Amino acid sequence: MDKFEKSALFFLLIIALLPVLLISADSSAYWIRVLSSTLMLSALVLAQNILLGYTGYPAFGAVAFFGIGGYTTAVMMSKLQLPFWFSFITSGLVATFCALIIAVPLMRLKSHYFAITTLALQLALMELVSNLELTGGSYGINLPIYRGFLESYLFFYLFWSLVFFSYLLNLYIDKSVLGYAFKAIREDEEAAASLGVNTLLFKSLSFAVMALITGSAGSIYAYWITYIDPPSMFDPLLSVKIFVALLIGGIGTTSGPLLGAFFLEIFSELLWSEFPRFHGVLLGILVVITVFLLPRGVLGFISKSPSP
Amino acid sequence: MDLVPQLLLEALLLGGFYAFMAIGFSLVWGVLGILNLAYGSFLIVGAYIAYILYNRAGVDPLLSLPFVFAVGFTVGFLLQKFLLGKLSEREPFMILIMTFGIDMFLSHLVNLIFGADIRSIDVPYAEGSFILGNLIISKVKLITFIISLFLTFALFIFLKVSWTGRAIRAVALDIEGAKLVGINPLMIFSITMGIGTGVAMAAGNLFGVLQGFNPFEGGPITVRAFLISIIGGLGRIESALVGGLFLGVLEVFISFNLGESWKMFASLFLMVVILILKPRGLFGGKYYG
Repeated sequence: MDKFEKSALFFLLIIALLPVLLISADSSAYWIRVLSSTLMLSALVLAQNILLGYTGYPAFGAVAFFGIGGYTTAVMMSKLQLPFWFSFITSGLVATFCALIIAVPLMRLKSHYFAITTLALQLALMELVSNLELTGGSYGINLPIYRGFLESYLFFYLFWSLVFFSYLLNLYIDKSVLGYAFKAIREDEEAAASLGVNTLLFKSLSFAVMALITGSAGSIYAYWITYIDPPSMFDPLLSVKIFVALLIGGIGTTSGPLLGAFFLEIFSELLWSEFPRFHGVLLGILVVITVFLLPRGVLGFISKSPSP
Repeated sequence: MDLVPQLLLEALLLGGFYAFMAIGFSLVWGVLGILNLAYGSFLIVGAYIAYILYNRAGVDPLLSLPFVFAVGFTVGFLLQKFLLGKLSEREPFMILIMTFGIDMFLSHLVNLIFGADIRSIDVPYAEGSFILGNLIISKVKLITFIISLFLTFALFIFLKVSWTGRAIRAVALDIEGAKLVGINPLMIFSITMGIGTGVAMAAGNLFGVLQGFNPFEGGPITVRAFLISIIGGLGRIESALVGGLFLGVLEVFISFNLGESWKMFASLFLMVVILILKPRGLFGGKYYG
């Protein structure tokens, strides 16, 4: 582990203790909420890093799986009265399963074709759930409100656990043989195939892992905000935020995604409270500047590693 | 009463406009390889410019067309020269994300200036409709249809005959060969982006006359432009006509049979299917050759 990875792990542990430290502060509920949404974005960015950073496939519409996870949870909990834990696990599995089904035809596409197809899929699902009765149409679904153990902290720790798991997974992939297979696909898929890497298997696996984390995040998010509708679960803005955070932090680095997600979320939270009307305009400018100036991200810039 | 002829007429009139609307997108895609996600927002910006000109200065929206095109050309030209052109070495998806950033910037900026209300450009002479046997022909749809066809034809002639048009086709076909005969591809890229954005804004001008619009209408329009381009293939201007008509028929009949709310799902679903099965388009080749 390099120094960035050690500090990132240390940072995550500090974050886990924050609710305890903040418990007496006046604005503690506000900060818990901001940190929860930051952790959610971190999980999404770490998931995208496994796919884009290590395997080289930009799933611009990864939020499709976020929506699948959220809607699975919402339907199971409010229409079928099932408990959250069961719905949560099922949601992750449903997202993974959907990813595995479409991976085979979808992953023949590369770069911007792959990106735009996943984005179209995300928007198509948004239109689909706004038209189906099961998913509450464009009105959306109300979920039961959580009461009980760790009431105001449950979602914070759920997101935190997801981030921790995703980070360890990123570390593992970065250093393991599995990661070598992913990176070989990223560098040159045909060469990897000719050296005996089963490219279809590994890139589908990478896609499925991304979907598992993203779908689980969607599931927690749905229960957290207790009311979901198609634009909130399949939000294209979220897709952009994932990519901007990943670009800021550094694509294909282990700790970059955490750095990028925390920077972007805290930054936009400050902007949001200062200039709520300008939020979209500023975020758009931030996207343009990031792509233009930071192709390898802050960590890539600092460590001057060869570009992925 | 049999409604099919009326629906087909609607599809034809809509398809003609769609064909013109999508040409800018497909030209930029075919020549520069850029999927411009900001396309729809540029179109909406064009609609708002025509709206201001009409409501503040009383300029007829049909007379403002050349001006709106010129504004679009300038913006596109500068955008390619100073921003997108600098990214040509990067992965194509980075440019895709950048165009999405531009889209966010434009749509929110328009929202900031005009608010989210639906606006429309109502010209008195375009109200009402003709009746032809069993068919009802709306005047405004007919006018935009004829202008769209005329402009599409003008672009076709421009690409076939003029030196610049032939240079654009040469760069699309073989960039090294184009360099050998003295064409500066970077200049051609900027001009193509200029034409693409100009067409987007001019189409927005017509769109404003045709129906009401709001700042966030850009996304669905980009999807339509994309779909038309990929259905027709990026081959030539004629294929935009094929794609436009196809989408016109699809939208009109889906709206009629399943309801307005399924229209967008059908378009997006079709887009995914075509991208997966035939990413180079249903008909025709890849280039503006």
